[in-house]
Amino acid sequence: MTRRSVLQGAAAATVAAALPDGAVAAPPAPAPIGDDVGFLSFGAVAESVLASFYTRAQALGDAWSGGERRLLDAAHDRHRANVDRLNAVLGPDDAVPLDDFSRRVRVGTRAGALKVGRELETLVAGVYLNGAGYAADPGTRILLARLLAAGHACEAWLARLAGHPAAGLPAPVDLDTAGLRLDTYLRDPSS
Amino acid sequence: MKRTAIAALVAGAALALPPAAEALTVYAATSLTNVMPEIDRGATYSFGGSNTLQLQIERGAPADLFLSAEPKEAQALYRGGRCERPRTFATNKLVLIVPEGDPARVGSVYGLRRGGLKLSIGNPNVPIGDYTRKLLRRLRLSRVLQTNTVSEQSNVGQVLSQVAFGGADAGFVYVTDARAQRDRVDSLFVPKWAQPPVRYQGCVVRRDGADQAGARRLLRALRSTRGRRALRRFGFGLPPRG
Repeated sequence: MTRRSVLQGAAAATVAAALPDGAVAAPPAPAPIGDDVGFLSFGAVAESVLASFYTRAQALGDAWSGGERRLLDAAHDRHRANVDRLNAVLGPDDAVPLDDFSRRVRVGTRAGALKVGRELETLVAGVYLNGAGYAADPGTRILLARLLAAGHACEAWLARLAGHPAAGLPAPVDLDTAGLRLDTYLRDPSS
Repeated sequence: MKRTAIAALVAGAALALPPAAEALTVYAATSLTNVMPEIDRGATYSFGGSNTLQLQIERGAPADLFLSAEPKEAQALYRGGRCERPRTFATNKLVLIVPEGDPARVGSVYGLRRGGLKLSIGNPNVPIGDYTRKLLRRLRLSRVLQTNTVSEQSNVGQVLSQVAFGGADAGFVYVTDARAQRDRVDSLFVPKWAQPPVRYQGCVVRRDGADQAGARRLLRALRSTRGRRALRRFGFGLPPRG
């Protein structure tokens, strides 16, 4: 599969995900096939790291205005809900238990938080984009495209807060590379 | 006459011993082979693949306590009324091992992609085999089971031996097994995020004549501070207390 075909597949899934309700028949429910679970498992772990990031960012208190804090709250809730959504699709046998990892997200300043947040959102969106192109199951592709759209919106918002123009869609990121990066935010609580 | 009386007394005393004085029979997953005697030296152990042990208990094997490397087996016995409610007492992680020095230059779990290697894994029915397949699916590496020559083993000890003695280029075992053979095998990188949740569960077997009180005591000991310390010393992870 070429980069072009990945992007075409992802674009198709994104368009399908973005269409208003009623414009098309209901999208198929995700039913991951084989290694599709890789994108979903990565997503569940990464979304939990993102939820932790927003909690840590919130803790900076005065670094944010009241409106910004409300948006941080909303972003946290969205990412936390995504963990449950992904785990529901993975099913009891493949779900990712959150107590298997402790999450190490360190943010000390507003600027630092915006940098870490944008990096994380871009990384995760890049994997979703990759998954939207490569996943075998159409329902899984659409789910990943929806998560990509939501994550990209968060990244764009963080970019605005940092005074940068919102970037276009992120580049697809392969799971090997993204996994190494994500691992730096995880610690095995039993080790 | 005196001798006969003494013999009768000894025999009588032996018969009068309470059942708890007999050694407790523990059926335990192979990966617990090293740690369990540290927790209770007096018990009689039968180590093997959890699925095989489950089957033996279902057929009436004289186990008092069952310690399984994944919840599936203990939960199946519980549902069938053959054991009390299972308790989680330890966790573990998977690791890819290679013979010391990595002669086949596998490098990391991603090195399996190149194919043509001899790979040793548990069969799909045994916990280590089930966990290995989950790990590979998460890493989107299931194809390595087709592109390498795979030999399937019926318990984790066999995978460990096969790699340690050069019969395979690589194999998936628990971290605790790799530690036990660290002079013969090297452990290669497996990403943290992709680790499947490995949970050990124990349950007290329900059958006529089982030493349930003794089994409960040992299960409690496993989950006690002393038991947790021993498990930790052998490289196991610990579930939250409770």
